[in-house]
Amino acid sequence: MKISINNLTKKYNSETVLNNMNMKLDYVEAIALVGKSGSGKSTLLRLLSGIEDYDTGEIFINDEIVGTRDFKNKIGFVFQTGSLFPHKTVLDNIVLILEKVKGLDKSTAIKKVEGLLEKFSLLDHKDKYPYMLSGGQQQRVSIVRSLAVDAEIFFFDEPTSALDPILTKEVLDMIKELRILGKKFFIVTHEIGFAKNVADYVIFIDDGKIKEQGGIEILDNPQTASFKNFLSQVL
Amino acid sequence: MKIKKVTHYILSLLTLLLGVYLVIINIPNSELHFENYLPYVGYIFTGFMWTIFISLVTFIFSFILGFVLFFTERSHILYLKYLTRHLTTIMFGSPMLVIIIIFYFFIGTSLNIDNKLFLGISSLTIYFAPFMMKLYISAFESIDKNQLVVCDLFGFSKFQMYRYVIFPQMFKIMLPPLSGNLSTIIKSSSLLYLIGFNELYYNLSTVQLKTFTYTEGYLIMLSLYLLITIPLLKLTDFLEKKVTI
Repeated sequence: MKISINNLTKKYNSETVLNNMNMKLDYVEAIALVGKSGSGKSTLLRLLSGIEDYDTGEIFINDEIVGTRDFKNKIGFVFQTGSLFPHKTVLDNIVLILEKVKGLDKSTAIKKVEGLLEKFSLLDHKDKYPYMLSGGQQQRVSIVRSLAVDAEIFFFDEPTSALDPILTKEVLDMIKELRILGKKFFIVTHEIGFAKNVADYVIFIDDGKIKEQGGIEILDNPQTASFKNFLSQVL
Repeated sequence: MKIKKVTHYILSLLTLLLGVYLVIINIPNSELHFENYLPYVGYIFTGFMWTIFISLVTFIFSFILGFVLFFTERSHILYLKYLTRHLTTIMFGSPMLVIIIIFYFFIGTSLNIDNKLFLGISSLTIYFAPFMMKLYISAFESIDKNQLVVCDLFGFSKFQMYRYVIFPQMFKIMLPPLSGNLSTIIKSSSLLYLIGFNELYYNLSTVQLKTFTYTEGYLIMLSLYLLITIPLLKLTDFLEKKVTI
């Protein structure tokens, strides 16, 4: 995956969250965005995915400008909590999209979704409503939903921050599987151990700026005081 | 346990009825003559049916107009947005009685319309639509906004998003307060007596004047309004249980 960020600035009202950010990367598969709360990492993730507009600058992923319809068709976004449709069962949450939006006929859609649910050990839950699932299962269903539309790039916004350690593990295991499936992803996470496990590139953001970036080895060998300080707090 | 419940239910009901009875026997000349109302049963029944009809039509129209206002209130066209806000401010801040009078005696007269049914329903509809709009807005606001982002990402058109994702959730949230609104509309429809529309309150008042039996009239009125609203409240309870997810 190729990423190019040029002079990116994002403001909320008068507060500058990201300030004139630049970055150029070739050949990365999985990027972990780390930093303190309020550092701007979640904002950067939202801008990279194109679900939020930026004020100035430009972002290209695989030479494609983000935020276009074509680009959105290729991505999946997993929020911290609750992006499943609460009035639909697990199966219907996904079939709805395949049938009504992507134009598959219903039986094909059901077949496809059931296959995916089975693959990720979720088939037993297909007739449950989201509120009947654990937080981890909800996150996994929302990953399956993006897989169902053949998303190539996944964006995870602290997908395990609302989960206990056991549920966290099941979600993280699934993300590892995505990696095996050849999917690319960006993940905002506080799970440094996990980042080491699945990411091949780490970006440390502090105060709206990229302070350090590089392969996962930078997690063991931080250069700046702020990154050292951050790692000592999370580890 | 069940017997205990039923006993307490009946006892509390009897207490209320006893209260009504004690009030009535303390009124001078309190002999009740319900038989005076027998010749007017048909007339009262007509009023009863009109009340139900007006209430239902008002409910449906204000529900639809409230829906339109829900969109105009959120419109990017500022003119529509502010128009909706002015209307809401006026309706929230005015007694319904005044709105009915303005509709019938001022707007009706200036437009040369003298149809009481039309003007009555119009005034009630206009009055209740902003209240309906508020229900739509609060239901919409209780929906997790990440879902809107998800819909956009998956390529839902605006229509598909509202049709399959937003409205089904909104209606579930809106059901209980909606029946509350219907109950308010039923009770408020009695104000149409002001323009001489022959709904329940107006017809019963007329019979009271003819028979000089006021206490009976009010007791009948109370019973008939409850006859409409109690099943509605029961229905609300039932729906509330049904839609809790």
